[in-house]
Amino acid sequence: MNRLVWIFAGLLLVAGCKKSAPTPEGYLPRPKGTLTFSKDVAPIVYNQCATCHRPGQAAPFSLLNYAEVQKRAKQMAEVTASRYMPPWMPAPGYVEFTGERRLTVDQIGLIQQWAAEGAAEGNPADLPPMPKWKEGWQLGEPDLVVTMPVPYALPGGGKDVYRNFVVPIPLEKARYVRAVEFNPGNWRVAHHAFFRFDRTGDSRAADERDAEVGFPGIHTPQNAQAPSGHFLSWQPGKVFSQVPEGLSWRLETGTDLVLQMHLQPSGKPEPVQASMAFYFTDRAPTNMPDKISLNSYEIDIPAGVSNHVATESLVLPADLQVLGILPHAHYLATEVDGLANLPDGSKQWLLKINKWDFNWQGDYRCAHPIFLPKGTTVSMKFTFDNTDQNPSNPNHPPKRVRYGLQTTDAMAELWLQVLTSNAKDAAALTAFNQSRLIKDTIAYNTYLLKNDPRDASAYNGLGKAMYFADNFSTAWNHFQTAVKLNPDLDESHYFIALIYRRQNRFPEAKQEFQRVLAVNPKHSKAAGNLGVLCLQEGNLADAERYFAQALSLNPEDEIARRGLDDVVRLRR
Amino acid sequence: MFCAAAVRGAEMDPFKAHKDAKALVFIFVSNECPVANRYAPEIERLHKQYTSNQIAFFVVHADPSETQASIDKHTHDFGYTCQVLRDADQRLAHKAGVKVTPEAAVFLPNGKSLYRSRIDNRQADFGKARTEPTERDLQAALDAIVQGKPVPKSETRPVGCYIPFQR
Repeated sequence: MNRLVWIFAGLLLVAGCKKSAPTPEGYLPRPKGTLTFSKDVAPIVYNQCATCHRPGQAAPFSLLNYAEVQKRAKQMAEVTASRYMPPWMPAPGYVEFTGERRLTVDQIGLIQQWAAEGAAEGNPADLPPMPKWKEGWQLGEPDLVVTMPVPYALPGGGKDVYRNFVVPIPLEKARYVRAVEFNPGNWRVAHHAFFRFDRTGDSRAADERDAEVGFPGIHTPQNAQAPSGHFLSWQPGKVFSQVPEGLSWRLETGTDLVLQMHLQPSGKPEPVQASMAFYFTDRAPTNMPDKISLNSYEIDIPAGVSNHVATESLVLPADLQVLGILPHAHYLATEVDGLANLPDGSKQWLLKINKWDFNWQGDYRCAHPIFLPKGTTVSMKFTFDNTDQNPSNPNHPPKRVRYGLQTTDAMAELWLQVLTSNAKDAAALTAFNQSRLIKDTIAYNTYLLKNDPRDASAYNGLGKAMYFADNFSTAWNHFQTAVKLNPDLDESHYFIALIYRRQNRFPEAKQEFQRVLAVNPKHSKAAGNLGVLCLQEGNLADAERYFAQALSLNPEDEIARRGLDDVVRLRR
Repeated sequence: MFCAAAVRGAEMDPFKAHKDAKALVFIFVSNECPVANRYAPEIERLHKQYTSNQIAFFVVHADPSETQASIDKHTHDFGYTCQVLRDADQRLAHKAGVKVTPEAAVFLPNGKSLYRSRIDNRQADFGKARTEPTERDLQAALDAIVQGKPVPKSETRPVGCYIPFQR
């Protein structure tokens, strides 16, 4: 079904491409022997390369003068022609993103002609002024900087490392964040990073499983999430910017930052101690962006197939603007397409990547928000090469690869950051996302159970999906299975308690909430709920005790605060 | 035959110094080439594995702009324990016919070339590295030499940073 939609979209595109096709640019060779570093090449290198190719930045060597550039002239001609440098995956001519790192065909041609003709220096008097780069944080003095308390020791050799570092954020009250900036701490080995936030302690627990700093993998606990409605990632050369006016996001107290870093060994042992700067604002958000995701859980790529395709599509439930886009795939992916088919028959590209590279993934911010009306079909198409010709193929010889979370499995996800402009559209989008979330959560946890039929947290996930779909009897069964497999799973006990309470079975509910606290004494919501139940019973002493416990765990628990007020009032 | 290079500033001819070796292995690197640098643990591994088989191992720097002090620091940082040569006049690089770093050249002590190519196929292209090499060309060549068999030729162009040859 989804594939049909895609093929249909592709056919339409051929007809519509006159309007949106990228116009090819040609290089007009300059008179032979006239190109010099000082006059022609330095302006390109200073502005397009030296941002990273200078001391203390991400690139492995500097390109700041004739000697440094001349000895690499041939290399530069090759890597710019292949567009390996500057690194920027989206193809030109489709969507304009902020912070694009891309040379024009003319600039590439010029470097090639100059290198081929002997890389002449020319007259140093022709040199443009060296750009003045800002030292330190590019966004200015931060309001808060958090740093990994202990550096991670990356070995000199071996495979690439994907590791998550948990950094507590010391906040006395919740703040609105208008920008963040990342410093990887060691530019030689940091390749890309994603940032998530966890208030539950799950990531901390994952970190504490072994003595080493951080925990491995590209998938963090389900409770570690990007800020609601936002993407946060870093790649070398990333330009951090403030959120658009009115779209700040709330950072709660007691939150841990989860830094997920892709580290490439450099040949020698390297310490890694990353930092993140936060920039706050007192102005609460006036609108809240949301996310829409397309996921393919059915990926199954036969060994030896070079152009396997995974597609998915959805129809937008409301008018909205696309602000940003985040593709995710692993090693076998080669191409990523995101396309919108508008109700009026026109096409709008959202993303076009012709050379997917796992190592350079991140989010893209649209230079201009893309308006898509209700009824627009948004589709994604990921292409995979599972042959030996794909050097990124982790299997040699190639083998069948299915959907999965490990880098050696396959994934295909396209996330859109979107903004609605009125309450009706926002409500339609929320309802739409809720039903998709339920569907995705079921698909995802079903996948987890296929791998491990005794995965208690997967049953917990299925239970939550059913609970939010108002299917309480099925939810009940999943939560019961989860606590049978892992009696210490506090979240399942908590939901069991909620279901008891819905059924007005208060003593059983109370018992389950108490079980939550026995397993996890820091579960503020369980304490708050116990306070409410005790208050109902007229047991003011216990109610006060539980509300106080909830408030000490989460000072912003409004229900517990009001409960305490009630206790005081009833005592009078 | 004379082919001098410098070991910590002192001129030496590796071919004369290792007349009785089964073979001499030169691996060309440079201070700032990330591709070559990432090979440091693999180069050390090969050195340790073959040095007892009368195979002399050298890491060679052939960029004239690299100072002896910067090479010494590089040797220390990347933990090389084999001999490190500074080929400032690029005579060894020319003789070997290497073009990039990292690239390996293997000779008999009499100067006859046995092998010149990549270490392995880990680096498929710029920015495209396999998680593990699937063809270890240099190791295959050294195994053949140790066993007295014909050395398989590698036809593949090595991926790395061009050596800045002086005109």
